[in-house]
Amino acid sequence: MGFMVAAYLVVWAGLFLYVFWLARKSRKLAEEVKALREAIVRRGHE
Amino acid sequence: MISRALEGWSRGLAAAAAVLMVLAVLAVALYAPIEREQGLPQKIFYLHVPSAWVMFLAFFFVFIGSVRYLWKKDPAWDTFAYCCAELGVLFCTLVLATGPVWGKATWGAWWTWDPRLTLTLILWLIYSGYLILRASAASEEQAARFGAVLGIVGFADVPLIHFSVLWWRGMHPAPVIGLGGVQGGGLHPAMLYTLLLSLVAFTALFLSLLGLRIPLRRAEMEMRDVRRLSTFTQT
Repeated sequence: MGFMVAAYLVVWAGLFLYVFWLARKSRKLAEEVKALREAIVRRGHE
Repeated sequence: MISRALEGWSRGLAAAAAVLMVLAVLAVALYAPIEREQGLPQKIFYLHVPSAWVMFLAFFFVFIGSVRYLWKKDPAWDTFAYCCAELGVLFCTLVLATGPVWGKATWGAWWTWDPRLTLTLILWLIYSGYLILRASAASEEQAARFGAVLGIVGFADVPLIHFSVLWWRGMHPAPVIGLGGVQGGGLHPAMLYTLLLSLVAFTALFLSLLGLRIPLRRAEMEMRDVRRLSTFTQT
């Protein structure tokens, strides 16, 4: 039983970590786009 | 093109993958019988084999994407190959993680230098090297070109892994289904149906992850270009 549970935990943890990593990448990119947009607006006002 | 279609279907695919994964887990827990000799650890089979199948599929896509990139010089094929390589390494890691757990339960050893195990480890090293190469190349064009060559050459290991159990004596059993497989595999029908369901679920999961990863990678590349351009205009 222990071996089976360990294998299932490893697979699900691996998949969740990958999705979490993708979500973090996506959030970082969205923040960068927002900062860039603000910089463009600021430059437009100058 | 495949990547455009995947992006269009990504929500539907993600929903289908989630439902199929839940069904597969239920089938493994409630429907598939417990194998007489190995007991419960045999159920690792329904994770290990689909992970290996997806790993092969991902590296096959890397091969196709790399050939198309070198031929057409279209960066979309390079993005496709890169994302498949990343997912291939993820599923190869899962294969290398679940294998030893199953091995310890049935063979009494976490690892042996069995031909299939060794060749799978080599495959993981090749495509991890591919990702490192992509991250450390001098230019994007160079990274894509070198990556494509490695993506094509590295794929030679995949048929070796598949046929290693037939060509060399090792601990791994012969394939139960597919090319070179034993007819019917001697598998109980409930085991076979559970395996097929798990294979479909893992394939849907892989395609939905690919549908998420490709637009993200493209956005990353575009952002890198914008960053480079803004540095250039400031100087």
